[in-house]
This record gives sequence, structure tokens and C-alpha cells, in this order.
Amino acid sequence: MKKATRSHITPWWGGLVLAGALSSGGAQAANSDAGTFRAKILPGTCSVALDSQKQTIDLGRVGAGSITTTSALLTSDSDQQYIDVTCTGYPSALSKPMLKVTGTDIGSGGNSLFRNGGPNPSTSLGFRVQAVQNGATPNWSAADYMVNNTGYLALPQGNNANKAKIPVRFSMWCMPVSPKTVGDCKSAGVVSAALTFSFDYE
Amino acid sequence: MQYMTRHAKYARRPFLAWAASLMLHLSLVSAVHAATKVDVPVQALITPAPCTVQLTGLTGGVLDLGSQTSESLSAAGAVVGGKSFNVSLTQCGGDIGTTVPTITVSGETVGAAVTGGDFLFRDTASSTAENVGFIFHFGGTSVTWPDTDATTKKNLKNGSVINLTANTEGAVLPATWKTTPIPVGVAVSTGGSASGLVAGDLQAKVTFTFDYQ
Repeated sequence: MKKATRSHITPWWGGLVLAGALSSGGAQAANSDAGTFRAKILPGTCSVALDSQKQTIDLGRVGAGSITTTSALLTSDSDQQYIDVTCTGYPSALSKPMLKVTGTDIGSGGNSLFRNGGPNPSTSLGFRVQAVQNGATPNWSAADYMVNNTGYLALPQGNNANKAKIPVRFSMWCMPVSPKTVGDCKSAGVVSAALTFSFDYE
Repeated sequence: MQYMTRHAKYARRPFLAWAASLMLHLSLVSAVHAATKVDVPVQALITPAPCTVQLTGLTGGVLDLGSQTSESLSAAGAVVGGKSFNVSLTQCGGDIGTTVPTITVSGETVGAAVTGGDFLFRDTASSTAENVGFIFHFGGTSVTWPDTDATTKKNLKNGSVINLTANTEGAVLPATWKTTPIPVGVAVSTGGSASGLVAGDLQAKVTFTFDYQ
């Protein structure tokens, strides 16, 4: 009786061990490999144009007797100007749509004063530029002045700037640097500045 | 009493499966009392030796499709930066019998936010680019979108199961799967959407798993 029982148990044990081996072998049959794929999608590029399509913004005339250092001598307020932005592609979520103006800067103390031409001998007369964000109603008395070759955030970060229309203001100023005074601005003659605008996602 | 003694003896053995199989043991022993013999059918499936899967054509497990301009991805169905790699199956053993060699593809996709987004692989946690992803073409070095041509329709999506019969996406394991690396084309695509792209870094981890079914 004892022998008969053992004869049944022995193959059962063997079957159990075999089943374990088969199960283990089956698990090993699955195999895998993973690849990581990367790319960088670059933000789009933008071009700008003066909405008025004017070749020159003429701010008019000012009499020498009206020259002061405390306020703008002339402005473009009567002929509101806009920078039209055309972009291809798309910004990133972190992209900052920045408007930039560059030119010959004769200013000091971080205040850019653009001037590079004209027969007027004064080295204290020049132009300043302001901008407000796309779609905003300009309040020029509160708007910052743009700094030469420094980006101005023309739209909220991550916004697509395509077809943006950015209000800009040009103004003429007398900004003498010590020891010069307001008198340095009272010579007659034309003053001019060549300004270049650019726009990019930074 | 003898049986109780045997059971107690076995219970002391350090064998993990012992407790689970105790009931079977008891039924076998009972059968001894009921008849002089008993037939016990035993079967097992012998699976072929496992294949080793290796993605070749990658550097350190990475395939960099480089920088792509967002302008080039402005239109629906845009595909840029195409490259390819191989899925190599080695050490697969001999006769596979009736088992079916199968490759399963898995990875995170853009999903329903984009038309055809199930085919656009993109890891949310490691990507800043949005509404864009990688598309894969199994069995070829190039990839297109949309992949509606019945003869070339082999784009992959998460959960694609590829075996010797073409799946619903058209992908099929070639007859030479054991001996010849299988090319896979990959590219960046916007899928079926034309808008909403956000530039930035794009990354996807895609796993190819081999098994016999």
C-alpha cells in the first residue's frame, strides 16, 4: 500500500518540477527593446513692415524757442504708426515675441537717443521710440521707451505673433549730456535717424 | 493516519508550491483507494527559444531626428526629418511549431487631441512641443501621412500587434523575420491637424516587445 502510493506521488513531483521549468522558460521567451526618439521643433520666424508703408516718418518742425528737455519736442501722435508682423511657423510655449529696434544711439544712462544724420550740428537732439503690446490702446505717457538692440515683449509669452499690429511712437527729444545744456539743441537744421525694426521669438 | 504522517512530512519541506498542490495530492491518493489505476492526462506547451530584440541604428538607444522648423510643420499631414532604424530578432531558436511570432508596439501617443493622434508618439513628461509626434512605418525606411494607401498602410500606433498576418494598420512581420533585420521608418508629423502646433522639444520612448502567442 505504501509502495503504490509512492508510485503515484513520484510522477506528480516530477510533473510539478517540469511545469515550473516550462513556466520559467515561457517567461523568458518575451523580449523587448525600447528606443528613444528626439527632435526639436524650432519656433517660427517673423518679418516686420511699417503699416503705413512710409519710407520716412516726418515729425514736422519745432521752433528753437520751444526747445526743452522735459518733454518730447515732436511726436508721431498725429500720424499713428504700427509695425505689422508676419510670422511663419509657430512659437513654443516659452517663446517671447520680441520687437527690437536698432540704430545709432547717442543716448546715455541707458536711455537710447537715436540720431545718425542731418545737417543739424547738435549732438543732443535725437529720436526715441515707444511701443505697446499688440492690441493695446496706446497710453504713451505710461509706455516705456525702447532701448537700442533690446527686445520689447510685444505679445504675451507663447502667443503666435503672426498678423500682430504693434503700435509704435516716434518722438524727438533734446537730451544733452553734462556739461552740455538745452542750448546745444537750438541750432537750426534737419535731424534724422535710420531705425531698423526686427521681430523674433526669443 | 499514515496519510496524515506523510502530509505533515511534506508540509515541512521547503517547497513553495507544496501548499497549493495539497488538494491535488489528496485527490490522487483517494483515487488509489477507489481503483487500481488512474489516468492522469498531462500536457505542456513547449515554446521555442526566445528571440532577443534589438533596435539597431540608434546611438545609445536614442535616435535624434534633429531640429525641424515649425514652418515645415504648418500643414496637416506634414512629415519631416525622416530616418530609419532596424528591429533585429536574433537567437530565436529552431522550429516554432504552431506558435505565432508577435511584436507588440507600445508607447505614449498624442491621442484624440489631434486627428490621427493615436499614431503620433510623444511623451508628455519629456516634451514641450505639442500637437506633434513621431510616426512609424513598420517594414520600410520611409514614412508618410496620411497612410491611407492600402499597399503601404503600415503606420504603427500604441498597442499595435504585428505578426505574420497583416494587422488592422497593415503592418506585418516579414517571412524573413528570423534572419533579416526589419526596417522601420520614423519621422516627425502633425498628423491630420493643421493648427495648434507648439514648438519645442519632442521626445518619445517606443518599446518593441517580441513574444510567441
